[in-house]
Amino acid sequence: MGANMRSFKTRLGMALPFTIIAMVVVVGFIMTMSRMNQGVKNQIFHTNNHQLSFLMAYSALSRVCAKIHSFSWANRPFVTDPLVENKVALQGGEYDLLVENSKNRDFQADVYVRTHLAGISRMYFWRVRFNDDLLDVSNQIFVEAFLNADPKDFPVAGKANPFASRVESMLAQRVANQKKSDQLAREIIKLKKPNDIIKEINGRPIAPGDPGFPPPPEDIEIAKKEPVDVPQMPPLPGSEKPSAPGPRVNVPPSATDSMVGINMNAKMASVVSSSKSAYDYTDQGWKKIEEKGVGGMSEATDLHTQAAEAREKAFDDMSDLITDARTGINDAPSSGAAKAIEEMVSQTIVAGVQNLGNALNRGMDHLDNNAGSDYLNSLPTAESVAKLTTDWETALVNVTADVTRMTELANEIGPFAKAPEVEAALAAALEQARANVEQLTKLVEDAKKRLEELIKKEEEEAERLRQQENESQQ
Amino acid sequence: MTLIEITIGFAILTAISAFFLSFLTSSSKEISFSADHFNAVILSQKVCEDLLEEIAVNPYGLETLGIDESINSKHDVVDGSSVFFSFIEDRTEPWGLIEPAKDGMINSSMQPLYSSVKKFKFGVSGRRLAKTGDHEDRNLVSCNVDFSWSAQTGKGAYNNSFELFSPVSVKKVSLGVSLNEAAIDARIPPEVFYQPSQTIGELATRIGENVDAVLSVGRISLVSRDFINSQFYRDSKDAIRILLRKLSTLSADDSEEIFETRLQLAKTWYEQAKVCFQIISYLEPHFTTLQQQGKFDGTSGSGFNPISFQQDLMSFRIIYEFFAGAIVQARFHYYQLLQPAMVALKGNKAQLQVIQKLIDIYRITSILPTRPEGMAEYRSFLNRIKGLSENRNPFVNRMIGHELKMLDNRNDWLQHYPNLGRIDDMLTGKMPGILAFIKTKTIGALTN
Amino acid sequence: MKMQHKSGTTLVELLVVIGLVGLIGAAGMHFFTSVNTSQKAFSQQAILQMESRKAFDQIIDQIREGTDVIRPVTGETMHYMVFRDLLNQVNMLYLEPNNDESVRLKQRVYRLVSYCNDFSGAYNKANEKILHNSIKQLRFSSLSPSSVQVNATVVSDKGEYQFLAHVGLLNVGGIE
Repeated sequence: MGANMRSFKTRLGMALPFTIIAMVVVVGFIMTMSRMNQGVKNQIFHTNNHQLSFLMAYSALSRVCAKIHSFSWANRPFVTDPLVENKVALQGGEYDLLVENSKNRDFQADVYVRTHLAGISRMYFWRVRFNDDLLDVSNQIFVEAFLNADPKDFPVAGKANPFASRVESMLAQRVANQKKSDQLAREIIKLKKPNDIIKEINGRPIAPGDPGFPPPPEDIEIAKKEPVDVPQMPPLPGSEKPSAPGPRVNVPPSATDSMVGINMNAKMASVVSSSKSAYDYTDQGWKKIEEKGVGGMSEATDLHTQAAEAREKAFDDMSDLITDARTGINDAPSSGAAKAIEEMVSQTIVAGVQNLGNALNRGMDHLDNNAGSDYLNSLPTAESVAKLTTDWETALVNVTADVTRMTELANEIGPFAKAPEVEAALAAALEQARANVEQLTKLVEDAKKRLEELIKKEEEEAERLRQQENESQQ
Repeated sequence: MTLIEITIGFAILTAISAFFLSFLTSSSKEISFSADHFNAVILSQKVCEDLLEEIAVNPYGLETLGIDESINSKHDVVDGSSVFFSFIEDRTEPWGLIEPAKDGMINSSMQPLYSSVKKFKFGVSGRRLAKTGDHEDRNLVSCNVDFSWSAQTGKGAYNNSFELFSPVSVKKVSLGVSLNEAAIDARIPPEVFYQPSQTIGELATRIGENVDAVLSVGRISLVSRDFINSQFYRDSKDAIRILLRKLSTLSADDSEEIFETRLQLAKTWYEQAKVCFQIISYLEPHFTTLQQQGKFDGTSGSGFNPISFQQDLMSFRIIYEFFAGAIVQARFHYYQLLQPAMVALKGNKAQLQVIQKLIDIYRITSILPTRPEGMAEYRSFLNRIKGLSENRNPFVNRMIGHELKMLDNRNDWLQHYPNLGRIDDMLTGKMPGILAFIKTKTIGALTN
Repeated sequence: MKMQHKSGTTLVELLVVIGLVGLIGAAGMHFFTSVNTSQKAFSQQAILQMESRKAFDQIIDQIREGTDVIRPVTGETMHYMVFRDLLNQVNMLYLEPNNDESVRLKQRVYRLVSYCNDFSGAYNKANEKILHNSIKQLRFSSLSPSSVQVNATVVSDKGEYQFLAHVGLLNVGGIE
């Protein structure tokens, strides 16, 4: 055994220790390199995590916007209580979501997304505004605020949310800075050199570089480059401008202002009713005479007086209507709106003129078809003819005055838009009214002739009688 | 030490060295691969951000870019092979324009970027989560960005996927006003038919109409009259008057005030247009009832004043014209915010936001039945935007190109924008018939 | 007769072992050194990428919280950027020559500076940040008022790394 021990001892060499040492060194190196590789992979992973987390959060926000759009704002999932979703799997990670109405802001929501991706948590905040506009075509939902935040600020539903208060104060500060910021931006956009901009924003000017290391040509090139002007849209073509300027600035507001003028509905109704009344009373008056003859004269006179009053009112109403309508027409937002008002007013005026014309016609009915001439010729005495002539002259003055006023009104609405049918109706009414004047004028002329004839005849008769009497006395 | 021991030791050392060397080699390849992976992450981020912006500007961005569910081909990152890497920098004159064929692409003059990214190829695919229907998925698109490159170890591939809000279904918003119909109906007998003691049913029986027709007449009359004489209109008109007066007193230096005043003017006109549209939308079904069921004319019995009915019909027409006029006024005043002084004050962003608002307004004026030049105006406006965005804002430029193409097929265009389709249904589908009905009823009173 | 076994190492054995170990060791050391050098180069490259990226991730977060880009305007490329942040303060990112690094790297090198104007009317050191110390080149290109493309080249003594990023400003709001 001793010999074996000795032989064992003498057989120990350095191969084993060397091998062990070599293996230790190699293993150590492998571990170092692996860690370095892993370190590189970790860093890439972290950079990747930064972007992937953002995309995950953006996807969560997109889902919230899609929900709001699909449900309508009134039926949004968080209308009364916050919408909470936890550990929603997405794109290799998970997210927590809380959506709630923004405090004291209509149609706005606060969206909190906390992402978890391979052990790293991040939080993102959006405040979005829903565009409750039935004329909106694009369906935009606006982002009013976005922030990267600390995951520990993720709110708990039903509990106080200090983060939201911080957002409010930041937004308030943003609003407070808006004007100054716009003015500063307006100055900056005019500046050509970075140092000028830095000076404008009170920064520290750029120190010069070491001349021993001049900038490369491309840097010199870009430093020489002048900033371009902000690209502009061409101006609005003239043909696209509104066809009317809208409300006149030099006219004070009125409590009775309306889209169509000043208190138009009542005025229009009054035109129609008073002109209709003028016809009705005229018609009723003549019916009394037709039914009762001379016995109905008294009632007829009363009715004709009311007709005259109604006629006066109708003329005044129409005049006022045109004046009031001009407010609406002149303040209309477009020529189309002005035209619609003009057509409405002119139609009403024409309806009134028609009614008044009909009243005139009714008053002339008893003279139609030579009835007037026949009656004139039936009168035996100059006195009766003289009375008739006086009556007819008075009637002619009144009718002429009425027709003159109707014509004036027609001229006033001359420039107003009218449908062809309305134009034709107006022309017909005026034509008939003028025909009445002509008819009455002729009748007066005939009456005067007849009166002259009768006077001459009566004088001749009187002379003949006087001569007869003289002859009989002699 | 025997020869065998030496040989064995040598063999062990060789084995260890060989293993060690192979590890070193693969490790270096790993590092190289990680560096490529790193580049893929960054390039992918660029494509993702481009897609975010594309869809934000144009909900049909995927369609515009020709992206569908499959990746039909992969593009190089360099040499302008794809639109995503064709607007990198403005490197040549004329300055302020990035021309894809000239200075927008990554080419060999951009070192070391070109050398490090030329090996990469990428493809983009996307799909709408629901092609039809009303579910929220209809308004979401899912996008995938795949990068690949040749690698000696591992998979030379990197993928990103995400979802974007792309609203294409109709917006759920009530078109008509919310009115107290019970209160309005209670006023119909006394104010429209001058029969204060009768109910709607009794009125209908007396004048030989059905109840729906009587209600329709009453609501058209009262709602039109009320709105024509409303406090809303007076306040709106006064506000516009005051703003116009203010505008006339401001000097060119008061840019901030001018901007705010013009913006308020635009918003006030727009609000007026919106409310007028709500009124005519609310009353439209009642006109349909009258056209189909009503017999109202001058002989509809006593107590009904056909003249005032005609006036109420004309009032409706005036409300429609005010809608059409106000929307054009809003368009004008929003457009004034694009004047150079306004853009200098508020910047590019406000300019783009005003343009986006105007696109929607122009779409509406292009379908007004009483504005035949509306579509030509819209095309002209789009071409102006095209000129502004060419070689500057590729997202807006593509969106405008897509819109101009869609205008060649009106039905297709309206289907793409169902909100507009709904407004068109009202304006082009129903209004001409209503206006003709109003004309018949109102002219007839004079000529019959 | 008994054979006498003697323990110990002969000179020849010793020389052979030393020679073999020396040979293997020299070859191994040589290869180790060269691979280590390239490893260092690769890892320096990776480290360079990672560090640039880390710095620019901060810039990306800062830009993302912005409201709009003032310079460059849409379609323009500049070597600086001016934008407004969430509080409507005007921020500027620009390059300033870093002479110490230039001497060390024997070429013109810049530091990337961020300054935020707080409307106080005076320079405030607290509003200035040095985001990176060795930028060779930096370009900002605007494709829309609410996004910017960043093309940056970072340099170190081991090389340079150029990358491209597109960042959207998310605090856009609307004209309403």
